[in-house]
Amino acid sequence: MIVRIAKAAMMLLIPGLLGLYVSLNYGKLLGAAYQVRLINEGEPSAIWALGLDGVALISRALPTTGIFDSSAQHQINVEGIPERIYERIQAHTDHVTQVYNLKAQTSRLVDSGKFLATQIADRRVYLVREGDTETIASIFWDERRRARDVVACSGRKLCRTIRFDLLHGWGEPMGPFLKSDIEAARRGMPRGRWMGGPAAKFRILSKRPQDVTVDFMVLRLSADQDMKFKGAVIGQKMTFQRAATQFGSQSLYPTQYRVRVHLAAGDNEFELLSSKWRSGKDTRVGLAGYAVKMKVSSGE
Amino acid sequence: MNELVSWGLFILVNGLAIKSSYSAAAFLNRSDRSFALSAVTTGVIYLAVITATIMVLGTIFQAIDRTTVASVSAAISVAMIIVFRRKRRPFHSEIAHAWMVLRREGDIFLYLLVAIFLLQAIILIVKVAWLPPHVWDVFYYHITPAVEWYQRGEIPLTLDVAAQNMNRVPLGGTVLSYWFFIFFGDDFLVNLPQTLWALLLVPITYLLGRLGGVGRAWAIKFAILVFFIPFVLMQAITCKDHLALTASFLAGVIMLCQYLRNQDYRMLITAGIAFALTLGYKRAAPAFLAVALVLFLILLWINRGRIFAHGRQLQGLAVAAVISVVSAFLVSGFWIYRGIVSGRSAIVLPPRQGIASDAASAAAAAGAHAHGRFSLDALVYNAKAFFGRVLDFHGAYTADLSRISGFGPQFTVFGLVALFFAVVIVFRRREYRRPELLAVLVGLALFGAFLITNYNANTNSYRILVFLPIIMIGYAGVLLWRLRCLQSRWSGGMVNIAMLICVLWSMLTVLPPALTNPMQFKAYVTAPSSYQTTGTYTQFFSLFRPDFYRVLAAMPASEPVGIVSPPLFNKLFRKGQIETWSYPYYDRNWERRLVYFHDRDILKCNPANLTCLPSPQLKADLEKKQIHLVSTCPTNRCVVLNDPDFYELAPGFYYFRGRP
Repeated sequence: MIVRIAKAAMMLLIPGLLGLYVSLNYGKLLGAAYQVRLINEGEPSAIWALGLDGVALISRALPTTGIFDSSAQHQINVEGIPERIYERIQAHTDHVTQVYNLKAQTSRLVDSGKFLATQIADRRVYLVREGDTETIASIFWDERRRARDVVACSGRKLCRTIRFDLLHGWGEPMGPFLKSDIEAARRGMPRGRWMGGPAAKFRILSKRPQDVTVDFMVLRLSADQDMKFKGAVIGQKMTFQRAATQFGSQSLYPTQYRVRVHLAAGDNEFELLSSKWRSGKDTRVGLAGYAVKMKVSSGE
Repeated sequence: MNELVSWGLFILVNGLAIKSSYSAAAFLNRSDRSFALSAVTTGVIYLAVITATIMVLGTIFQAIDRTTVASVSAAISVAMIIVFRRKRRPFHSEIAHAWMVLRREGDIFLYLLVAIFLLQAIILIVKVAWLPPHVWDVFYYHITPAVEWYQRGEIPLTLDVAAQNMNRVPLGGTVLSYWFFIFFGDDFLVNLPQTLWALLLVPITYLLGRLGGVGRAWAIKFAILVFFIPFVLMQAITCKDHLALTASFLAGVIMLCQYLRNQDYRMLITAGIAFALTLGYKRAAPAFLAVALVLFLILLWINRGRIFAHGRQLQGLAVAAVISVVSAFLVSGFWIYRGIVSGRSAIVLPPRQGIASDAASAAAAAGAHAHGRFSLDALVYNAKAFFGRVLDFHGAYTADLSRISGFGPQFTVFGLVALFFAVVIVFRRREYRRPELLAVLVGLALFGAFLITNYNANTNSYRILVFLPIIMIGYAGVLLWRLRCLQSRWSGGMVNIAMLICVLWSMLTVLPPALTNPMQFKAYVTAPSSYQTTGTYTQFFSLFRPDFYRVLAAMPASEPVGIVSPPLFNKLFRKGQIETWSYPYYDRNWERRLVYFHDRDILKCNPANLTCLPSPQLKADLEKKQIHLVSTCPTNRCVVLNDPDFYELAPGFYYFRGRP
């Protein structure tokens, strides 16, 4: 009798417990399928080759580095090559041919003395002599040093007279991010800074009284989100607004403002007020928009 | 050409080692010609001999280069083949016999499961070859010592490293990883040892089923079910050691069961060798062994009339004991000696966290609020958490098993039921005559110890408990067989379907490569092999410092890196100096040298913004050692160096120019 009960219990428990486990963990199966989909969406390393007189000199798979050059447009790849081949390429930079992902390229190799560089598609490839640590370090350092923040000043005359400081309500400079970035929420985002809500403050220190124009490019959170400059503003207008652009898992609205402001001699504080914002997970500021460019110029 | 030589040497030396282990296994298993028994014994001897070879060469002769390792290992293998030549059996006849047995069963589900098993085994091996070490414990102490040994050509008592854990814990798994590196000078096989242990779990569980009287086909099916435990599949491709600890321990326990069944003392020799390996994997191992041996002696005493009816048993026991001690000395003696010297031996002083627990670092223990070893509070907490953990719904499957068990649906369906029955059955005296009961008792005792241990009230503790699903799923097969559930067409069919669902579930959910950015996986596997390193694979750095490792990958491997990880970092970071993640700095050929600046506070830091000024002493040391590349990241967080002599190449990564 006990054996029968035990047997019946077993036969009831097996499908019951299996159903329980699967129903509790169904998301794991979906998660695995999603992972496989993401793997399929990824792209293999690009293949790049250099040739001379129809003879291949080097052929390399260029890995996805996610490190961008100062223009934030090209990924950097640094390739160490044997001294002998390096010198041969260096001697024939004008005649070397390039093939990128099986397509012939017209890009030229530029000789800087310590390295050779070229720009192809979304890559900036540096060729250095094998083992030349100092040159590799100088390449990365220089690209990093020359990378611009969102704030820029246009016109030498004007730039000599003003200084731009971001006060509170701004995140750290970040990006650009690859379309294959691990964080879905930032895939394909350009270089920029998150600006906080309800206000992000900045200051322009001017040596003399003058009127300047601030061109401000921002990715807003929603189409009906208002943004306003507060300070000694002469006039402001939205110059264009594009429909929602998808950056990974989030939609943002690229928008440009042109603001004419009067600068008094000394400190001039401004605030960027936003009607909407949300809390930031990885940033210390609330997220009201992603500032991509803030260019100050003297023009109307 | 060089690669061809490496492969040739690898196949030759390992072929000889396996052949000689098989010869020794034939000698030890004269009384039982089971293929599974041969596989377990051969596997255990093979892993023990290669471990002992590296240990003796590395610690006593201080010569663990490829030529020495290969020639000494080949010599040992040839000697073993000669010694055991009279007892050897042709390998192909065993394979043919096993194949015949399989064919005779005529069970479609069996063939289906075997086919899925073979496919999964291939997937695991491909993953081992493709994926670098990628679990974060591995970054700081599981595999880093092997690189240091390789660069020094010896296994020293202590290493001058920031993460001191590697100077304290047994590193038997690391020794095996070293073996699989040395033939190629490339780390693509360093994850293989745990795969081998995972594969050995199949014959181990099969033997458990057969000891309980289960028919061959069903014993194979339950063994395959164990292999497909998600935890096993996940850890089989890592350099961690929980799986190796469990599999070696269970191999020993199964051999003790075999002895209780046939009183052949040679089974105890195999058990001794398996336990010698166990001792080298974790500080908790002696506690595991103590529990197993005490229960074995109790069963021996209860069954003394039957076991000691045949003469010369005591003599056999003595021989087995001597061989076990010698094996333990050769395979894991160094770790025990090092433990005694450093005052942290598990034998002299059992781990403070208690038995059946992973001996964690003091910081981890403090984090788990572990005051003392055992408590009623821990029992209540662990018992309450048990069902949530084994049902796995608190988190995703990862090899670290954070907040889940990774035991999979097979444990819920078969193991939990068997656990319930086992608790009842141990009170029935006539069960004590059954040899498989030892494994069940060991599982229950260690599980009980696990529940009352304070340390186990933490999010990662179920890694050490993996013996439980293995034993209980195997035992479920025995119970179902005894209840005649498996023999009936209807209930047997239902069990078959449940097994198939469990196996497919585990296979599919664990299939995608883990702990990386899936969108860049294609780019990773098609990148040049020099770029395919832990640093460029891992997702742990994708969020915080991906640039660092991609810049590092462009640097020549011959360029050393200075890791600035002073004691001060233990205050600045949650995981500071004590868990410095070293392995991602290495190239896959282990050429890059790491120099640690860890014993003095050579930085003056502002904790508010993690910006630091390097001391003149640090600059002088870097110049003296001709180090230009400097890292300020103990784990995946870094400090900023504010000094014109240090050029920032990426956050936390600097070029130190030295004196012009």
